[in-house]
This record gives sequence, C-alpha cells and structure tokens, in this order.
Amino acid sequence: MKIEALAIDTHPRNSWKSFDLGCRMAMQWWWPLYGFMLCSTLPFFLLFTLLSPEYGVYLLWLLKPWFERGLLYIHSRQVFGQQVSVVEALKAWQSQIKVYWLASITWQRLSPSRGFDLPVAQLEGLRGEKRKARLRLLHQTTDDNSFWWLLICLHWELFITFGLLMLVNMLIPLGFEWNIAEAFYSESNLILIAYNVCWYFALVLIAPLFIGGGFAAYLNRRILLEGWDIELGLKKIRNRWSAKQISLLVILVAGLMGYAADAPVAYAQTNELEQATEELATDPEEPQLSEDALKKHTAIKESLQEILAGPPFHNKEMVRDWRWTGWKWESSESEEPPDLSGWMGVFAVIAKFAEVILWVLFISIIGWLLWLSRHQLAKLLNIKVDLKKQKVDLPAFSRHEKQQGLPSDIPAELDALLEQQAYRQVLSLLLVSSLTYLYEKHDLSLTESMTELECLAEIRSKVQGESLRFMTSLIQLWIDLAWAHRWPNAEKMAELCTQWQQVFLTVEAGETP
Amino acid sequence: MIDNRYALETPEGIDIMLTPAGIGVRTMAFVVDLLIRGVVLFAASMALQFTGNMGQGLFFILLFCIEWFYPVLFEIYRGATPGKKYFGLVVVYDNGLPITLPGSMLRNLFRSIDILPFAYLSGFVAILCSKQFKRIGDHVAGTMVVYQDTPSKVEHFTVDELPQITLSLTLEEQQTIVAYAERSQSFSEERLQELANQLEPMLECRGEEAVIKLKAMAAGLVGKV
Repeated sequence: MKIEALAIDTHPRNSWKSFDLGCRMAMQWWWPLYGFMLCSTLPFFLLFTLLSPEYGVYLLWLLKPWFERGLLYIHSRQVFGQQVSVVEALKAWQSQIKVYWLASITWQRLSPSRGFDLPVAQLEGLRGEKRKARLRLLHQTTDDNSFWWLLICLHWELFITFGLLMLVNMLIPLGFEWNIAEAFYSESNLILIAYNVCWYFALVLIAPLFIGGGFAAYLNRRILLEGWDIELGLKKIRNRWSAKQISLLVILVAGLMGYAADAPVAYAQTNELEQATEELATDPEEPQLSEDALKKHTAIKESLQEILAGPPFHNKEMVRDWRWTGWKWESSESEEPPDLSGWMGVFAVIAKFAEVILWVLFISIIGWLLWLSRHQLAKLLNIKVDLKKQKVDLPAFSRHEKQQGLPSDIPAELDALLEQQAYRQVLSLLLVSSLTYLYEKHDLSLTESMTELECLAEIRSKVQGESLRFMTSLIQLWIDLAWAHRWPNAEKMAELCTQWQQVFLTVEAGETP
Repeated sequence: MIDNRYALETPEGIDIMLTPAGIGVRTMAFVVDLLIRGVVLFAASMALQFTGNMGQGLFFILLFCIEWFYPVLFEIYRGATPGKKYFGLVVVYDNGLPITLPGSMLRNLFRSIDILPFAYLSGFVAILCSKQFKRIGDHVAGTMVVYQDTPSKVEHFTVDELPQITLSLTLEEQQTIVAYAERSQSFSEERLQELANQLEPMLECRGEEAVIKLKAMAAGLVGKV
C-alpha cells in the first residue's frame, strides 16, 4: 500500500465528514462507478422483472452486496490513483465476490454496518476470527455512524423511488386521468413495472454513494488509527532534510536571497502605507490632497498589487464574462501534422470543408426557421403583410376539376364550357371564382376541409344581399349535381352564368370605373 | 486531490478551511428538526382541540408560521436550527460570514423548489452535483452549511526534558509534529515507533527514544516546556 499515491486528502475527519468525502469520491469517479453499476445490474434486473414483476426486484435487492463488491473494487483502485475502466471492473468483478459470497447475501445481508465492514473482508482479505477482531478494533469508537449511513441511504433510495414516480405523475398531461395513489393500490402490472424501474434507478444512483461513504469511513478510521497523514508529513520532513544535506550550500544561498527578500519588503511597504494613510487622515479639513502624498499613495498601491500577485498568495481569478481569447487553431498548427495518407486523407479533405458545410447548414437552418416564422415576425415588427396576395385556401369541394388557376376571361370560358355541356366544370369554375372574389372582398375564413354547407354558413355570416342569394342557389345546384347526380338543365345553367355576371362583374365594374 | 474541505482565501493570503456538510449529516439534522416541529405542533393541537373552530384556525396559523419561519428565526439568531446545532453545523454565506435575514429567508423560501417533486429529490441532486454541497436554495441565496469545528485540545502529552534538537521547520511540518503528539494516544506503541523512525536521520535515534524526542519537540513547539 503506497499512501503517497492516495487521491484523497488524508487529514482526520469525523464519520459524517468521511461520508461526505465518500460522496465526493463517487461523484469524481462517476463514470466507472455508474457504468459498472448499470452494466452489471441491468441484465439481472431485466431477467428478474421478466420472471416475476412482483417479486423479481426483491431478488435483485438480495443480491445487491455482490454488485457492491465491484463498486468497492473501483473505489479502492481509484483512491490509490489507479484508473479503472468499466470493462476492467467487470472482468475483476467475479474474483471480488469469492470471499463470503454466500454469507454476504444471507446472514450478513442485514448487517447494520455492511458498507463499513466490506473492505475488511474484500480488501484486507481477513476471514473468521481475524476479521471479527479487526472489525472490533475498527468499531471501537464513539464516532461510529455506519448504521446511520445505511439507514440514510436506505431511506433516500425509497424517497428517490417515490420522487421519480411523482415526477412522472407531475408530467402527465391534465386531460389524462391517472391517480398515482389509486394506481399504487391497484393490481395493474404497468404500475408495478413503473415502480420497479423507478426503484432500479434509485438503487443505481445510491449504491456507489453508499459504498463510497462506507469506504471513506473505513479509510478515515484507519487514518485515525495509523496516522497516515502524519506518516506523509514526516516523510516530507525527511525528504526535505536529506535534500538539504546534499545541497546545503545552494539552499542556504538561495534561501537567503529568495526567502528572506519577500518579508521585509512587504513589511517596509505596509509601514509606508500606514504613513501615507496617516498623512491623509491628519488633515480632514483639507480635502485637496497634496500631490506628493497622492503620488506616494498610488505608488504604494501599485507595489501592494505586485506583492499580492507574488508567491504566498494564490491569485485565483474568477472570470464571469465571455471574452475573445484569440484564434486557437493558429497556435495548434505549430504542432506536428498528423499522418494523412490513404483513407485518412479523404477524411482530412472532408474535415477541411466540414466547417464550411456546417456553417452553410447552420445558416440555411436559421433562414428556414425565419421563413417558417415570417408571419409571426411580421406581426412582431408591425409590418402589414398583404394577406390578399396569398393563395386562397379554397374548400376542397370547389376544386372538383383540376384547374391551373383562373382563366383570364371567365365569361368566355364559361360560354365555351356551356356549349360543351361540361356542367361540372362550369359549376366548379363559378364556385372557385366567386369564392375567391368573396374571400378578397369580405375576408372569409375558408379552410380546405370545409363542406359545402359549412362554407355556405360562413358566407351567410359575412355576406348579404344578391351575392348571398346567388351563392345559395349555386351551392345548392352543386350539391344536387355532385351528390345526388341530378343533372341541371341548360336554361338553369345559362341563367346562373348570367346571374354570376350580374352579381360579380357589374359590381367590379362599378367599383373600378 | 479529492477533499470535502473548501479553502476560502482571505485578503491576508490565509486559507480558511471550511468543511461543507453533505447529504448524510444534513438528512439527520433535517429529521431532528422535523421531530422538534412535530412535537411542537402535536402539543399545540392537543391544547387547541378544546377551542373549536377558532382553535383550528389558530392551529393552521401556527402551522404556517412554524413551517416557514422556524429555520429562519433559528438561523439568524443562533446560526443554525437546533437539528443542525446538534450535529455541529452552521449556516454561513459563501464568504464565511454568518447568515443574515435576507439570505436565510431566501434559502428557506427555496425549500419549496428543493422539495420537488417529492421528499427533496431536486435538493438531493443539487447537493450531489455541487462541490460545496449546496441545494438549490443555497445556490440562490449564496449560502452553505458547514461544520463548526471545535478546537482540539493539546493536553494529551507531557514531557520532562527539553528537546535537544534544533531544526528549521515550516508551519506545515510543525503542525505534523504537533499532530503526532496530540494523536499519539490513538496509535499503538509499535505504530508510534514506526512513525518516529521516519525521522531517524534527523533525530539520530530509533524506537522508544525517537518517540520521546519527537513528543518533546512537539511540546517545545506548542510552548509547553
């Protein structure tokens, strides 16, 4: 065991502080810990839930100490500075379970100090009476809170389970009737599985913290019993001393020059500062400072800043705003260019243009979003968009015949169609043209999905007089033709066409002389 | 180096080591506070049950006041709630100064966020993710909960003779030697000698003699001789 390699600070703590340290350790090494926990438990969880949604999780709960062995393995290696990957931990896992494999899931399962005792068996490899004696020694303190730590973790596991269920419950939309309390007592499998999944997440979240806390408490107990921090400190003293023996003269000279130089300078300058502030304070009636004192003051301030920037101070600087730090890739080009032959060359070419491609993509996405939200933007900027210029959203029924827009001379077109007795086309053309006209004039709100009668109702609410009467008869005729296949006679059609001309063309003519 | 302590550098260039309190001890403190509040409310409900509707109204007013102002009042007058006091915790601002009314109000009002969605789940996650173990209310108010350490006693050891060794030691090294003497009672005799043997080339002796010499040095450092 090399305590020089320890990745934690070794000062003695009380048990609560060591649990906190355990949490910090678990968070620091979260990737291997949670990676291992998910990889090892997920297959078992799925299997047990499949076997029995009701009791499977209890089996997983019973086997939990086995998974904790792997977590302790990771913690114990990382604490001595050895990086452990998830795969390594999974490989080593099996060998870690061997000691007390049965005891840990049977009579030791409910041990109140499970997390604290585990390292003695698993890491120290003690068994039987020896293990018991060791545990007695480790527990021989008034500051033994390992049982409380277990209780706390157990309760947090429950609270997190319910918390996650509540979170799901909160996120369910209002219209969806589901009462968590009712569902909890019902015998539905779905809620059972939801409960199992939430419990599983809580288990995965808590286990590394629990083991980390227990392990940190164990380490802390050993630090207290064996004085690891003192050993490290004494070793440092000896190293410094022996280094001093070798180059006593050098250190002496350097020490005299470097070490002694700092303090007197600082002292002298603070003296000067005191003098200056005294000078400033002595004449309160004269707010105008003498130029000499002011100069002295700024000079002292500057030198104080210099001292503060020097070695005894840490000079941590916290920057809270964004600032330009220059083109980073300019400096990186000075590094050795990587090997770009064969396939890598293709990727290099792609990479070269990747930035351009990404920017183009980015700008076009922004442009597309702007185009999609153009109406909202126009509203926001108070620009009046001419809505009439937009395409009319005509009801689907009116476009019975596929048309390429309205013909320029509608009456001529109508006459031609009448001669061919293409009444469907005539009616369609009449409908489209008159609806378009009414839409522009009266601001109808038409949608594609409207039926004939809905359309008529909309017209009735906005339009009166001759146009309404015409539209009523037109739509009635259309319904007869389209739905009842009642073929209109020629006179009726001709009459409708002239009516249309009267209603729409004369008004138009009157409006725009 | 992973440490649960947090170094607060003062303008004088001195590091004040604060130890933020994490999940375990704060859960315990919360439970103690919950019990205290529960007892008070239970007593109040017992006393008020004979006064009919008005008593019920008074009870709810009391409930409101205790729920919201119990932590605030204790924090601004005593530094921490009784539960936290029991576990040696104290609430301070980020700069180590004692908490005042605005900070305390803010951090306790935000309990209603921390408690979401159930039983302080968001507070739990926030504490885990923060190096200073801050829940959301602590982040908002710029406060933290730290351990209030009692100074250790230096009475564990006595020496008869003055140390015969003169070494120039830095502050850290002096602290190590004093800690050795202070904690010597918790080490076994073998371990004490093993530790003292580390300094064999300087002390020019081993074993028991080295232990005595090292303790004498510590006594000299704390001014006991």
